[in-house]
Amino acid sequence: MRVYHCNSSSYAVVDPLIQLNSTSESLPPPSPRPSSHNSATDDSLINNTHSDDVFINSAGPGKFPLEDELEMLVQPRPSPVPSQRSDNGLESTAETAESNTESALADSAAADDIILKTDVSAWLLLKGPNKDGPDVRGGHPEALIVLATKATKDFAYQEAFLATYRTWVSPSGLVARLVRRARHFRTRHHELRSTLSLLTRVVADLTTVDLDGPLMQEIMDFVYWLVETEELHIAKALRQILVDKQRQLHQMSPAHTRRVAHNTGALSALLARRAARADTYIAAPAHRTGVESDTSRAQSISFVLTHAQGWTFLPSSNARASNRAWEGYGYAAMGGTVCLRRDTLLDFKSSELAEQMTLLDAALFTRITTAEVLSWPRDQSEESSPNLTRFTEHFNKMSYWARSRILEQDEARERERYATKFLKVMKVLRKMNNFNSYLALISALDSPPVSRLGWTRAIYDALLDHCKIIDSSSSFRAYRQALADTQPPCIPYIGLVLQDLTFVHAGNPDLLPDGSINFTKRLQQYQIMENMKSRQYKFPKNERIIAMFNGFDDVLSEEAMWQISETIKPRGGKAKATPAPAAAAAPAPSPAPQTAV
Amino acid sequence: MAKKTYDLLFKLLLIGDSGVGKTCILFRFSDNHFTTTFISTIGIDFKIKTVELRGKKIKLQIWDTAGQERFHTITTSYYRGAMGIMLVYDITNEKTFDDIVKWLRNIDEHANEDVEKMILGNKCDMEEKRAVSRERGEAIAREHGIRFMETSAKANVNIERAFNELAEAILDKTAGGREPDADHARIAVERRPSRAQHQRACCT
Repeated sequence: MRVYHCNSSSYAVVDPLIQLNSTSESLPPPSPRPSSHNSATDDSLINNTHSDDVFINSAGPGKFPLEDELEMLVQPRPSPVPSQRSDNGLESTAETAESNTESALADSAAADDIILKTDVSAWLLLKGPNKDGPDVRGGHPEALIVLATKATKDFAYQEAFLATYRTWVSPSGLVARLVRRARHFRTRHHELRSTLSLLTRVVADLTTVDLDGPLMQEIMDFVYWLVETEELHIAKALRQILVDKQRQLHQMSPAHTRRVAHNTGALSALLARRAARADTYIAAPAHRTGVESDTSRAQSISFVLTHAQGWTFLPSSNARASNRAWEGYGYAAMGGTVCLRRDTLLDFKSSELAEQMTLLDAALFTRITTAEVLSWPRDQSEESSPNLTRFTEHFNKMSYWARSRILEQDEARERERYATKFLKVMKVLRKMNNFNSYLALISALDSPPVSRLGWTRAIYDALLDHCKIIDSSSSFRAYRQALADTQPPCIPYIGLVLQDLTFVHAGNPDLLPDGSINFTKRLQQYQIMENMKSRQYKFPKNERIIAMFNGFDDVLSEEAMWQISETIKPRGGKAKATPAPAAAAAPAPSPAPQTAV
Repeated sequence: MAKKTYDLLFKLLLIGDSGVGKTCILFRFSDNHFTTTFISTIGIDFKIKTVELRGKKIKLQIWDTAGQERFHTITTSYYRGAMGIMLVYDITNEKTFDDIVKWLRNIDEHANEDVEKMILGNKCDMEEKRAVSRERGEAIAREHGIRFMETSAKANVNIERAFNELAEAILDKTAGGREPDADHARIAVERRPSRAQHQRACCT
C-alpha cells in the first residue's frame, strides 16, 4: 500500500484517499473550504494599499527585483517609456515577445523561481490607493500567472488574464508553468487546488491549433500524475476536455486523433481501476465525511469547468453541434441548388429569413476564439485567425449577395420589392440583436452601385433611419449605445471590436518602462472582447431557406454590379425611364432622394 | 454651449489597406492619450488636433477605421461630410499600392465631389525593404491630380507637413479662405486643371 505524506494535517481530510488509507479516526473534521494561510496574502495582493506606482519590496526606487532576468524577457527594443511611446514599435506589427520569454523563463533559477512562490506581491505593480484604473497594472510574467491562480476575489483579473495571457506567454508555456507549480505544491492543498483550477480553465480554452502533440503529451502526463496523486476528479475533468478537443480535431488530423485516442484510452482504463478502488472505500460508512468533501470538490470543479465553457467562444458541446449544423448546411445548399432553384427571398417571411441568417451567423460566430481576435491587430494572419476570417468573409458575402439580388432585377419595381423585403428582414434582425447580418444588409442597400439608382421616398427614409446606427461620429456612438442596451443573445459587429483592439494595440506599449508586462493594456483588450460574449439562439432550422441562401455564393462581381448599375442609370445621367405602372405603384414619385453624396 | 476654441472644423479620413500604418500616422499626429479603462459605450475617441494656419485656428477631426478594412461596411455614411482624405499605402508592400486605385474609386463614388485628397507612401524609413519607388507614387498621384508625399510615422517624417498641406488645401476652398497660397511651390505634385473633369463623375 502506498504511503501518503502530508505536510499540513488540516488539509489531509479533504483528500479521501489519504483518509481512506489511514486507520486513524482521530483526524479533525473536514472543512469544506479550508481557511488558507494565504488568505492574508491574497488580501494584500488584491487590495493593496501600499506605495503608489512602485514595486513593493523593490530593492531601490523603481528598480525591478528581477531586472536582469527581465531584460531577457523584453522585446528586442528598449523598454518603452510613455513619453517616447510613439518611437517604439508603432509600425512593427509582427513583434512578439514570446520566443524570448520562453527561453528566459525556462532558465530561471530556483532561488528566484517566481512561479513556485506563494507571495508574489514583490513582482507586481499595483494601483495606488487613490488612483483610477485597474488594480493590477503590471508585473513579472510569472508573478501575473501566480496571481491568476489566486484571483478568487478579483474575478475580473483572472478573466482578463485568461483572455490575454497569449500576448506574453504561449499556451504551452503557461501549461508547463502551471504543471510545475502544481507538482511543486503537491502536498499543499490550497496552492495545489488553486493552481489546478486555473490549469483546468486554461486547458478548456485551448484551441485545436494550440493543442499540438507535445502539449497534448504534457497534459496527458500530468493527468497520469494527478491520478497518482489521487486527484481523480481533476484528472477526469482534464481527460474529458482532451477527449472533447480530440473530437473537434477529428476531421482535421486522423493521425493525431489516433494518438490521443490511444493515450486517453489507456488512461481511461487506469481511471476506471482507480475509481473502482475508491468506490470500494467510499462505500464504507466510516468514511462518509471524506466522500462528502469529495463530492463538494467535484461540484466546485464542475463549476470551474462550466464556467470555463461559458467564457470560451467554443463550448465543446455546442461546438460539436454547430459543426454538424454547418455540415448540414453545406449539404443542404448543394442539394438546394438542384431541387429548390425557384425559391427566392420573396417566398419566405422576413422573420424566417432573419432567423435563418442568425443561425448561420451564430454557428460561425461561436467558433471564433479570443486568441484569434486578440492576434488579429498584431498579425492580420488568416492562418492564425481562421474562424475570424471565415466570419468576415461570411459578412461580406451576405452583403454582396443582397446587392446582387437587387441589381439582377431588371425592373425598378422589382428592385424596390427586394429592397423593401430586405428592410423588413433588417427590422427583425435588429430586434434579434444580430448586428452582424443587420449591418451587412445596411451596407448592401447603402452601397454605391445600389444606392445611386435612387429609391422611393419610403425606402429612402427607412434606410436613412437604419443607417444612423453605423454613423461613425464620436467613434460609432450610436452603435455602441445600441449594443450596450441589448440583452443576450446577441451577435455584435465584429469590425468595431477589431478597430478598438487595433487602436489599443498601437497606442499602448506591451511592456512598462521597467520591462514588466503592461497589464493595463491587457485589461483594455479584455474589456473590448467582452462584447463578444454570446448565448445561443434557439430557432428551428429551415433547410429550404438555407438552401435558397446557397451559402450566399450567388453573387455578382463588383465589376458586374457596376456595369449593371450604370446600364440602368448611366453615369452622370438619369435612370432609364421606369415603366409607368412602376411609378404609379410607388407611394410617392421620388424627387431624386438619391443617396449619392 | 462652450465657447468655440477654433475658427474652422475639418473632418479628415484616413483610408488604405490594413497594415499600411494609418493608425500609426494618426497616433503620431494627434497627441492621443489612453484612459486606463475602456468604456464600451464610448470606445476610443481621439483627441482632436488643432493647427493654426494663416492666423486661423483649425480643428482637425481625423477618422480612422483601422481594423475594419476587411468588412465592406465603409459606405456612403462614413464618407459623408469628409473634407479631406489621406489615402495611405505602404512602400514596402506592392499590393497596398495597387489597391490605391480601388480606394480612389471608392472615394469617387462615396465622398463629396470636392473632397481634398492626398496620397501618402508610408514607412519610407524602411528603404531597404522598399517595393514601390517614389516615382511610381508620384506618377499615380499625378495621373489622378492628387497631392503626394512619402511619410514615416515611425521616424516622424512628413506627418505634420502632410496634414498641414491637406488642411491648407481645404482652407483654400473654404469660403473666405481663398488667398493666394505661397506654399504651393513646395508641393510635390501640383494640382492639375484636370481636377474639374475628374470630378464630373457624380451628379444627379
